[in-house]
Amino acid sequence: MRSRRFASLGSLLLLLVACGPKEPQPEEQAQRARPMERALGALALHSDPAPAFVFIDGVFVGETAAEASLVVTRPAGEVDLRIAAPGRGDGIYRVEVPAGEKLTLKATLTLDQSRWDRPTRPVPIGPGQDLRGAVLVGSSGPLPVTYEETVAGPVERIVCLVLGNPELVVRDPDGEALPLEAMPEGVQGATGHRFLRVRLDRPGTHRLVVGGPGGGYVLRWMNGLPPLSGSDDPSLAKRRLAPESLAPK
Amino acid sequence: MKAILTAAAFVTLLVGATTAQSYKTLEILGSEALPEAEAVTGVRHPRPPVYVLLEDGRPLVSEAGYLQLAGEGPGFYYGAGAGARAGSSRASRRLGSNNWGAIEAMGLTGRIVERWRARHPDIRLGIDEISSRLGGFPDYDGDGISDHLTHQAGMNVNFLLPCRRQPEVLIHVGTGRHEELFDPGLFADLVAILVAERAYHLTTNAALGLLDDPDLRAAFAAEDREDDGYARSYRHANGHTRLYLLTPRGDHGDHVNALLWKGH
Repeated sequence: MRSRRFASLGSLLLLLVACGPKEPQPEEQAQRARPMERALGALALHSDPAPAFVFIDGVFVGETAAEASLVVTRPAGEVDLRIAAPGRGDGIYRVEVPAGEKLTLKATLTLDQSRWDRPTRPVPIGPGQDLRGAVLVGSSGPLPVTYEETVAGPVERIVCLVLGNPELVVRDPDGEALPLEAMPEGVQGATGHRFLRVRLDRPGTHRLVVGGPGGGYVLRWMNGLPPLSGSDDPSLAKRRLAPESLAPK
Repeated sequence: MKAILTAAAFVTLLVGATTAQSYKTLEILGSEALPEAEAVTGVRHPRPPVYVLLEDGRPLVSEAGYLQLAGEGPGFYYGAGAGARAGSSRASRRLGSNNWGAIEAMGLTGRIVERWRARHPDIRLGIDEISSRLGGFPDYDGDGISDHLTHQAGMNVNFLLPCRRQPEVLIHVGTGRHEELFDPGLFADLVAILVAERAYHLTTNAALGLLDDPDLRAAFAAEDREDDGYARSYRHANGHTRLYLLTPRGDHGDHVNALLWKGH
């Protein structure tokens, strides 16, 4: 009933917009569309048997405990739903949320690691928005896993391997492997991570392939290192490396 | 009923084409009319998360994809922002807040807090440094080299030494600060919970006597590694957790640093 009322109101607004004397600006359009958006639906999500992280339209919205549901109330319609559990692969679904109703879903998560499927298509990736920031990705599933970034012109990227010791290859749009330059010893010694610099000179889609025998890895795809206030002389590197930062072998 | 069937057909069609094997099914349990009371856009969590939520229930997420630990909540408090602790650490002084973590680490932190609450409902757990808003490479002493080695990826969380006699006091073994209040049994309990949640690495000071606890001593075996005079490493029987006991006086003497990564 309520959704019908909102739909009628929305239709009326659309009619008024259509008869209006001028082309509406985007902001006005957004304001006028709001009543339509209030035709709400809800997703109630269970995960079985493990707790899981839930992403809707690519945005993290919360965790669902295995025994309780995470309720997301949102405009009705189609949503991209991603469910992820630590140490396992992601489940990606598309779901139609009915207007004015609560749709209760249960994702069944297997605990069998060997059944994890690696993504069949490259995973889009982009650099962090700040020199200190970076995209952090990781997986404990089978390798290889491919990430890709499309660039317009020559840029430099840095791969920071936080955990794990996989084989890393970056390929240009023609599939040619690009040289990965190890960063100065001082930088590595200061952080306990491996830093590799690569130049993406050609416009187009470049691919980072994480391969090797498998095992977990976490890496960052970065657009630079922070400016050093002093020197990058390796002799300044912190000599004492905290052992917990060592990558697992 | 029509809505149920429509949704079911939609999900079945698309799920079959797009899911990985490990998520074979997205089972539809039902569809019901949305109560008027729920007709607001937002997220209702099954339990209060430890991270900051916006007014509508969505998590606050940084540009780097990190979640911010709340100042306090059921069973925990942010140690670096509390009372005598405020501004006491170099990281927090420099960054304003150093309580941002990766989604998986923050989810595990929530589960650790939950377990702790179940065992010690009257003692809140102090959570200290994690990472800055964007993670990265803090240089606290200004020498051009990044510090705080393990707190760059939002995956390492410091848990303060819990105290029964004077809750939320800062105890720092090796510096003389409230050492008399240190409760080895309570600390061993915390570490047991971290292991149960499959923390990947744990780092603390050897003087805290963690392996004097019989259960932990039985579970951790010394690793055959070169002794660098700084740390001894131990591997847990679960094959996942590694423990580092630092020998310099006072180093990590007020907390245990847990790398929260379930990994394999």
